[in-house]
Amino acid sequence: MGPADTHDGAASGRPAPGRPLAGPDLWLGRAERLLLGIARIALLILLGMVVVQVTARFAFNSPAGEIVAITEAYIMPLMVFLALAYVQTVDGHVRVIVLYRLASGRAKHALDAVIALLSMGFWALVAYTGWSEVVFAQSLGYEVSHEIRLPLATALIIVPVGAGALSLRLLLSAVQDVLALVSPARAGDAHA
Amino acid sequence: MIVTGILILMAVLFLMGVPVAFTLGISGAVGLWLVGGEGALMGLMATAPYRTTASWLLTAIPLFVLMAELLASSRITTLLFNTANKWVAHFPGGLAIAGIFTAAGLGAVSGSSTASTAAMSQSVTPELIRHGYSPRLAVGTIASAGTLAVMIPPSIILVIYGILTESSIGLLFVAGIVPGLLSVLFYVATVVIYVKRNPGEAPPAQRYGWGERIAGLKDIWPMMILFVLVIGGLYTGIVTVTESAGIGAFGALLLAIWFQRGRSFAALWEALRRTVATVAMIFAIVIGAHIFGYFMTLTGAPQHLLHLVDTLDMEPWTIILILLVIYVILGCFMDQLAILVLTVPIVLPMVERLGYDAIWFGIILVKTVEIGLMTPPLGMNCFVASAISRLSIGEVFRGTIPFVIAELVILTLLATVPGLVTWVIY
Repeated sequence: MGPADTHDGAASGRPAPGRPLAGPDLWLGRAERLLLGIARIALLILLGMVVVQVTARFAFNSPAGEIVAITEAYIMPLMVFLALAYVQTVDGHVRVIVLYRLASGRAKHALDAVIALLSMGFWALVAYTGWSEVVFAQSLGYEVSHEIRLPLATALIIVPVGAGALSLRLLLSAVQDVLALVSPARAGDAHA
Repeated sequence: MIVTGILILMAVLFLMGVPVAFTLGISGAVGLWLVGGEGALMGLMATAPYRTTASWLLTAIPLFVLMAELLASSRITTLLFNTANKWVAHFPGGLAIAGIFTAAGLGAVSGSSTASTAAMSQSVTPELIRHGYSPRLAVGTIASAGTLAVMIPPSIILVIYGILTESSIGLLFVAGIVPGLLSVLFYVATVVIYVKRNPGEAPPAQRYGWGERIAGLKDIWPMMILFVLVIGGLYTGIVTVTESAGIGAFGALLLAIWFQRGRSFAALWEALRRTVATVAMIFAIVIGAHIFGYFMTLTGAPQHLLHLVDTLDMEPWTIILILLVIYVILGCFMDQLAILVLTVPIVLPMVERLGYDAIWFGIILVKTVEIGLMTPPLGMNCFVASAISRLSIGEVFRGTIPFVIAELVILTLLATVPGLVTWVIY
């Protein structure tokens, strides 16, 4: 259940040499690593907050409601959504490859392009509807909770940021596969 | 008609190689649009991804994964292995049996099967081969034993099952102890029988004195304390699941710092990367399944299925048997988490209607998950073991065959004698 286990070598998120559109790939890779770094820090904060919560409950019999509210509103979404694009970069999303691995060369590029475009459509919709929710919450002045009097939009915006980054990664992958498809020389480079 | 069409679309996307999470999301979104129109689709898409993740209860998942990653990357595996070896080296295939007990010990403080397999493939498999074990037996044992982490608490799969079915995670953990120990016993028996039949595949047994055995225990007492804190606290109700996971992850962090003096920050940073990657992957599936599940609910398909079961002229155990066969077959071709998230909300009400217990069914389901992790073509543990030990995947799958047979026997036993699971909890 841990695809990250099989991708130790692909942890950098850097583009493969000779891959088409290496420039945008490099910049997107940097953005993904930044988002991944934030997700890692969020996890560390979560650990610290749960320890504080346990201590507060047992030592002082006063669990901190703010910790639950912050974790729900910010920490969990940060961890999940900001790491989505990185997981895609290292091909870490679980998939069934029984038939996929039978394809080779140009057929694989064509299949990859279709998969990336379909997936991009879904996550772009998540990003768009997520952004609409941000605008809606901001227009009505919603707050995170009684304990956390920050605008709810500051929490909701995590979804379009993460889903948007994943959509860009998928779009770039689709374009790279199409370019590799129409240019067999590049296809060879990309597979090297 | 729409449901059939969407199920076909989902099957096509799966087979094309679209990630499971995206397949569920795309199929669910298309279905929602067809059934409820643009309003239903946009409304759910705007809220479901955020609401699915923004949960205090679900924090147990990243914390248990972190605990597993921290412990798997430390020296704990080697310490467990050395200690276990002193106690079981006199059995035929003693070192391989020590590997099984190491996996059980690792499973007791880590809920991730692949993390456990990866750690053991790095440290235990080379030791087995160096001592004269055949690569097939060595890697087959380790790939199979890694699955013990799925059943022995704390198990991440059991946490997800508990959240999906609103069952007590504490009870699920306790219910997993006896089947977990049963699996250990059957694996040990499998190694003994295998080595007796193929004596050329393992070196002669050796024996350690009682002094050495007892002295070895001093290396592993921190793991024992951590296990008691995590599972004991949960079982007695002193702590909640999230708190238990937090204590476990924090304890694992302290142990990792203790065991890895000098390189603890790099190991921590790497464990954090692996954890968030796994968590993002899990939650992407949960989000996709939520959207798909909403579509299914809107169509009333689960109710139709329940009605269909009511009208069937079959004994309940026959239906359970059919379900188990389907799960074992599905496990060969689909990711276990996806199977769980996709099928449990539909199948569990049916199982409960037939008079079976949700906790018992969860344990049975997890046993099929274990089998799926070690069978071709998708057995994740075998791929991890193959990648790390650099042995061909075919060799790994051949090595797991005796253990798959043992697993099928255990599954039959647990299915026919539910008391093996339930007597501890009721």
